[in-house]
Amino acid sequence: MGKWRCFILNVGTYIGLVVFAGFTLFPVYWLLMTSLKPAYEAWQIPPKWFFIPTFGNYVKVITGVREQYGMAGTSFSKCLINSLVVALISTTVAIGLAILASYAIVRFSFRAKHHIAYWILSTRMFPPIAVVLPWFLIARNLGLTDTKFLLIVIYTGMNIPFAIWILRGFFQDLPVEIEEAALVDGCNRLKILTQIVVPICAPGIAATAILALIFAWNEFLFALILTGSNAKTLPVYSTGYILEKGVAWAELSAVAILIALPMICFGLFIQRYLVRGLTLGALK
Amino acid sequence: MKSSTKVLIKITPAIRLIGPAFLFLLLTTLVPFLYALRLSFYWWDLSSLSAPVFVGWENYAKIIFSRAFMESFRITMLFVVGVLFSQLLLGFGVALLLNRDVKGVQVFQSILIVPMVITPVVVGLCWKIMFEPTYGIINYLLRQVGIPPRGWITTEAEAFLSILLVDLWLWTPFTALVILAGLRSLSKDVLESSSIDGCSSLQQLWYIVIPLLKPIILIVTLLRVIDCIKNFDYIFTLTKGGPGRSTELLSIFIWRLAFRRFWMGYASAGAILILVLVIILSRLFIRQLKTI
Repeated sequence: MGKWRCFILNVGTYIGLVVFAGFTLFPVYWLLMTSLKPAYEAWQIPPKWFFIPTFGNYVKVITGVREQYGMAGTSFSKCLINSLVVALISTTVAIGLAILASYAIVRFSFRAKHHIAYWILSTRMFPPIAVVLPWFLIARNLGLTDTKFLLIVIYTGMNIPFAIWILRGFFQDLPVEIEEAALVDGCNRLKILTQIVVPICAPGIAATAILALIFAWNEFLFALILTGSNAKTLPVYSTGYILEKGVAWAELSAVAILIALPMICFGLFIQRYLVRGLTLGALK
Repeated sequence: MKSSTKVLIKITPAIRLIGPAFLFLLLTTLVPFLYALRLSFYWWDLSSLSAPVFVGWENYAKIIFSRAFMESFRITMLFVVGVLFSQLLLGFGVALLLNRDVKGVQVFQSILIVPMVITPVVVGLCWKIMFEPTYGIINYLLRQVGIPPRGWITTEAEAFLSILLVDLWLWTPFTALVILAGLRSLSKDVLESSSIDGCSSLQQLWYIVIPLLKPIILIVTLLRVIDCIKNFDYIFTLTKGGPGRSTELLSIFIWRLAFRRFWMGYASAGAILILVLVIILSRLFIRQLKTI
């Protein structure tokens, strides 16, 4: 009797998981399918389940044939470069600064330590709209609107707290003895120590960097408010396909896939660290 | 005593290490915050050519009792309740499924991370495509099963439920994975000894597992509440707060005040209020974090 019960429970488990996984994947699947259909088929009812996929939409998006819809403004390739530049530079700076700060928080003891650490944590919680508002006015005054520089600064600031907090977990796991041995051996500066710590923690640091990259790439509100035609990033660009007279469904889904697919690949790559990342190290 | 608390070297190098990051953060968070705070005491309509006028606490007094703010607050709180109720239940269920010793669980876990990293704007666009009343896939599938098509994001009544659904799709995997991490960290001994004592699975769940998981559930609850207040990207893409004001959560409300009405001072007051709310919540979160 026990074997039957076990079997039914297992089947039930699989059914439940398959249903939920299907629910999770279906929108992405549908988006992908829509993007591979020629424009007139994309919103056909009843939908064509079997069709010959075509990359026409992707070609249209990448070569920038938005003009035929009367969409002026920045081209896809420019937005792509903007997104790449902003995401990569802000991530690099953020991780660099965060490694230093996180290491200091973990290995040193000083009076303000806990206050600083938890204040850093709370900046992660700020609603972006509350930060964008003053930035909009400050940027106007400084003439920094619509520049990649401004976005880089803001995204770096956005990612530093998060990176510090994740790296803290990794550095805490590293046994002090290794560093103490290096000190005894006459390692002169903390910098040399960092040349021991960083290589050992490289996977964790890489994962943190990828997480920061994902956040910077996906960011929307700051880019929406603070950029115009010059520094526009991909997420803002994608909303440009929603026009007064209608939505360019097929091309829109192609853009959407182009924006999201790299992030999905990255996510699968670092999935071990995702929960830790999104709960700010509360869970490992 | 944890080895990481041993003091290695004097304080000065520490300040040099933390300094750059700290200064950067100060610049990018404290400066805007102070600017917004100061601005909240002025009335400034950016679209008119008039200069800011000092009004003291009037902005705060006006906004707290304004119908729009109270409505937006109500909608956000309603959203939070709906989110917590549906996502905690569903997430817990999925976590229980994933915790079972069946082959191939890893595959399902991998699938669950997709909503967590996908660009939120893309999520909004994707569901916008699916929700389309005439040509969208959802209504089509409903019609096949005999359910009449719905207006989804085009009707006031249903728009709220629609964004609740999207949030469910987006965040239940996260909730499930967090609870799963908690489930996996439970010591097997307690569960085993209770089985030996004749405890059924259901009793185990109710009397042992859930109480033990309370800290984790609280953490995920707080995170979700804070995230709901921060929510912007996909709601903006889907409804922009509409139809009417039916989906105007707090962040959309502030956005509209600042970048449609251009009432900068007034919007700043609202932003500060939201900030205070989030700070209180994050203090709770931090206090909860310390207990883990």
